[in-house]
Amino acid sequence: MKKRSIQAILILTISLLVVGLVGCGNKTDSKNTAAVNSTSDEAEKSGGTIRVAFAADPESIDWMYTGASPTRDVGWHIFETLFALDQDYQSRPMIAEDYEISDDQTVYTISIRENVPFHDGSTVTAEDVIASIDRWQVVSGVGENASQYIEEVKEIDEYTIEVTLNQVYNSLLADFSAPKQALMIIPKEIAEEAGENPLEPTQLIGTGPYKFEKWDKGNEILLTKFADYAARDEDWGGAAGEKIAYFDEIKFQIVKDPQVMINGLKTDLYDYAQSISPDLFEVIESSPNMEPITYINGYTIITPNKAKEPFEDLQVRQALNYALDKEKIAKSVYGNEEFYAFDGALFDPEQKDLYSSQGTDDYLVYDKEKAKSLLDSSNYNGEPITIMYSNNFERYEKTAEIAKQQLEEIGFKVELVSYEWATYLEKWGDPDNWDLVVIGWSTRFSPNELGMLGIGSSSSGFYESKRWEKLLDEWSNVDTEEEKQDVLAEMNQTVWDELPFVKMVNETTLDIKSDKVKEYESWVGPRFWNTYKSE
Amino acid sequence: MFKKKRNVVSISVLCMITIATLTASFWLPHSPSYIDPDFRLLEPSATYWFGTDDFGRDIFARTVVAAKVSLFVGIVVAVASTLLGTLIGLLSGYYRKADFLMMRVIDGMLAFPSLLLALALVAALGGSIVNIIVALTFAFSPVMARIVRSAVLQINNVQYIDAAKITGTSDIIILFRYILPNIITPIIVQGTFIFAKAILAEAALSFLGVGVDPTIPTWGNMLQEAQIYISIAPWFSIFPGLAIVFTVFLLNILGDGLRDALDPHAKKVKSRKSLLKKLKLAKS
Amino acid sequence: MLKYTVNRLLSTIPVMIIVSIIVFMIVHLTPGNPAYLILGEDSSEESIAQLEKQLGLDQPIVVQFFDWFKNVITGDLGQSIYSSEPVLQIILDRLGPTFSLMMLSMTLALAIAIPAAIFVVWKRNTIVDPLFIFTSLLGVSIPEFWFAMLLVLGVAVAIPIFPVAGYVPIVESVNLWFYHLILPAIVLATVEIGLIARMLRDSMLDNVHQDYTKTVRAQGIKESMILMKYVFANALIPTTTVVGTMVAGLLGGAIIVETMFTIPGIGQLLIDSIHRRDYPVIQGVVLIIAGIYFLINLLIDLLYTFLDPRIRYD
Repeated sequence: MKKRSIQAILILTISLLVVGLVGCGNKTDSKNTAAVNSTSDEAEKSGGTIRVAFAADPESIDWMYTGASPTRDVGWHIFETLFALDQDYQSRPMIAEDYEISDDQTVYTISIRENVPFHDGSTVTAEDVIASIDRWQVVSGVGENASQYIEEVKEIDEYTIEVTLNQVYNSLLADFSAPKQALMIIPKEIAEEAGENPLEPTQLIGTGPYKFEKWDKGNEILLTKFADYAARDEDWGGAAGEKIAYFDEIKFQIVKDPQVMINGLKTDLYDYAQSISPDLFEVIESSPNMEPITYINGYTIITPNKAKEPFEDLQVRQALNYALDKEKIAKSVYGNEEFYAFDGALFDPEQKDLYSSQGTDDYLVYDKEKAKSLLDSSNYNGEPITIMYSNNFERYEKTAEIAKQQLEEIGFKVELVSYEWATYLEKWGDPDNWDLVVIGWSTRFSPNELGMLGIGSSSSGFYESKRWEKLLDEWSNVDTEEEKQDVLAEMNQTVWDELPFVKMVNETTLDIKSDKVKEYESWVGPRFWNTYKSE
Repeated sequence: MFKKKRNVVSISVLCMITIATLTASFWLPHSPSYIDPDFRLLEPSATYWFGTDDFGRDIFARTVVAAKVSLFVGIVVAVASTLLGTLIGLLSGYYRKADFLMMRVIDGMLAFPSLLLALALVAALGGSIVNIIVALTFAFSPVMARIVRSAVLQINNVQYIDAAKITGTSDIIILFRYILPNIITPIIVQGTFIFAKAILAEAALSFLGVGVDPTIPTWGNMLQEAQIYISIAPWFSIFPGLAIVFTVFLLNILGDGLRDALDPHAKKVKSRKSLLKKLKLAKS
Repeated sequence: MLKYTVNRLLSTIPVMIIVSIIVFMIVHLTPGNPAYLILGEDSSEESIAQLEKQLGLDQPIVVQFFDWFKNVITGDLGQSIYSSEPVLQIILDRLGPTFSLMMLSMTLALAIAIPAAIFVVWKRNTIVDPLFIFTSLLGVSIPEFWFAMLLVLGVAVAIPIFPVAGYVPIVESVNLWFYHLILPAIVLATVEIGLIARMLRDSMLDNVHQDYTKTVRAQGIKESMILMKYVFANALIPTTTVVGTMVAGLLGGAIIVETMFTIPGIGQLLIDSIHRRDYPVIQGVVLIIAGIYFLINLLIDLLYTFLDPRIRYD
């Protein structure tokens, strides 16, 4: 049990950027697509199959259970959440109709939309929502965190629930809308039956615009249009608002080789491909029948193991930060500068409500001499340090390789150790196995989701900080925008004072779509509703 | 005469490659490991003969240095499988009682295409240089054992061996003084082919991502890195690939030439059995 | 001949046992607890303990082997850690593409190698012969995966007519089946052509020097007639043998080519399973490939005695 939960936390928090991340230019292609042409006939757009060249087979399609990107990218077609993020990352009601918050901010009364059908024909009612919230508090890392504040969830009537908190917790709606380990609404029986286990393929019953059909593991996942889908009307974008399924089928086909993906788009084998090396951006742009799709996808970091020598010493961590030439690393790893951005903050500048650059002055300072003197005066004894990474991800491997070279220049002895992803997760749990890990974290939407800072967890490199804990607590109580900004600024400051991790660069992911796919709006991951194919 | 010259040429070129890679640090114009992103993915030029890779490293320097690992794996596997295979073959051919069991084991191992056997073993042991050598040795020795065994069988009935047996000469002396020198030709030839095949196999394993540590430059690892850049930086794939083809080709020429030079009767294949033997010589 | 056939069949038994032992050892050579390897690393303590008992991991290894062997004989290759499906079923689903790919490449390879070898034997005293030797040695020196990369670059990128990935079953559409497989089949065939053309040349050349051809030649029959009538007719037997040898090369090559061209065959399954550490599937695939290879060679041996009754084995 303990083992499972460690693994769950890891998976959840890390949100493996399986989707080939690449730096974070502030590029959104959202403007590429015109607003839905209301005059065009829906029937004309309907039909056909979209074939998606998918970078990695998800380990499960249980969007509540697994925090990895491939799970999300399939899952959000099948399932829907109580609340969801819109194009600008704001929470919007999805399965919920509306909500009210009591004056003391501890009671949330949430009404549920009527006549929302599940894929099995039954209709969403309060008891399904409650059962889903219950399971979410157990299997989801986000939910587990929120459960500290949730006193009770009870049914008021068939379409109303009431969530009572034990103290003010302002992140509740953000948590309810989290796009990873999401609070997806599933039928009560399934939620209870599955309990702590991931959903089996037969249990993949949601309310989404597409329903699960078949999963040929390691090869293909097939979704089909859900004819009875109950859509909202609002044009909110993101994972929220109106969703129209134009395609009859979505085929997620597992393809590992990016060259095969590109050639496959050229020869009309695929319509969309995920996670392409940014070096190929120009090739894609100059190809007549395909278009690049880009979106922010978090950042890469190097996490030092703070549970043991030498990195338990802040001075050695500072040496680490000064020793790494992030500009050189980014340039070598990502190539095309549209796809990475230098920024030392916890959130992306695009996330205006969450962004603060306080304390990040040292982010780009590359000072070998300073690093050397910091290291020399520390008690680092010349023992070799181990940089561990997963060899499934080229950019981690490349980052580790260059970091090794740069750390050796200031006097570290470095060994590289790589494992296949699953083994890597296993090894990560034990502080004896590593000193540094190179890993990416996809975009987060609340400080509660920052798993790389989870107190005492292996994914944070066993970070212990009263200061950070206090800030998280304050965060749940902030009222005004001003207070919020103050806490966020202080959070960034703390991270840079204590250096629990060393940030590399913000990444932007490059996907490609065929020019036959119309009105596709780019967001944090591929979604195939409100888009259609035409010659 | 042409054939003799051919052998001399291929041996000399192989020696030159070996010397070049062993002394690489003294004469290479660029470091094989210096990372400079300002020079990444440059075309071949007078400065960078083979161009640069995705880290801005000199591909020529890396190709030369990579030869060290590839040749090392090749030669160790060739020598180890030759020794192991020869030993098994000798014993099996000479001691007819042990033969049955040993040959069944060999037949069982020959039931796997050698790349498959190597893959399965690397999957079990993990991919380090040592494990790759072990896996490839295991995969290539059975062929050698077969060949040595049938060579021993042919010579076993020759009169002077019988004579030696009757005069009470010890088995060890018969095996290593009388038999081995007479069957050395197919052993050397096959050893050369194993050398070539081991280089190809190591490259394939590394390319498939189950081989040598990816941070060590080998031809297979370089090609694996180069794969996604093939359309924008074809030189990154072409030169390490040519290095493999060139080296393996030299070894194959040498093996072929040695067979003709050392064994003038090799061409006279009469029965299916000797044809089979020949096939196995060429392909495991 | 019957006696030979029976003997040949009997001789397969010890070989199959050895093959099974090797496949069995794959899991037991791996450092770590086989129960973890079989169930996956995140499985619960109870299920590990249960499987340990079920596998009899407390038993001597010989007992464990016989238990496993019993299951294999009855077609039970265990369950995939990754997909929880029966290994045998997974493999059976993947055999079609691999089989198609092999058939197509074999046809291609023979279609080029046989005429090439005939041509070389015909022109054996000219520059053609050394040139041929040179080319065929070059052919066997090219790594499949590198050749595939270049072919993809050359054909699929520069002239994007052929798809470079995927597979369509022949029952769905013969055209699409061919269209998807032709590039990978060319890669596989090219590497084999050099080798088999060389073998064919060698054995035909031996025939040319046989006594009976000398006799015929002395009778004044035209050289081309001799080649046609006597030598090539006798080439059937070496061709059969060559097919057996090719199977090994094709099976090995398919592992690489399927991975590169995203063909859902057993080769790709094997590589994926190695990356997933899905040991039951790895074992299953290795066993099945060895089985196929072994079976084909057995058939060829039997066919061979049928074609040429003079052949006998000791």
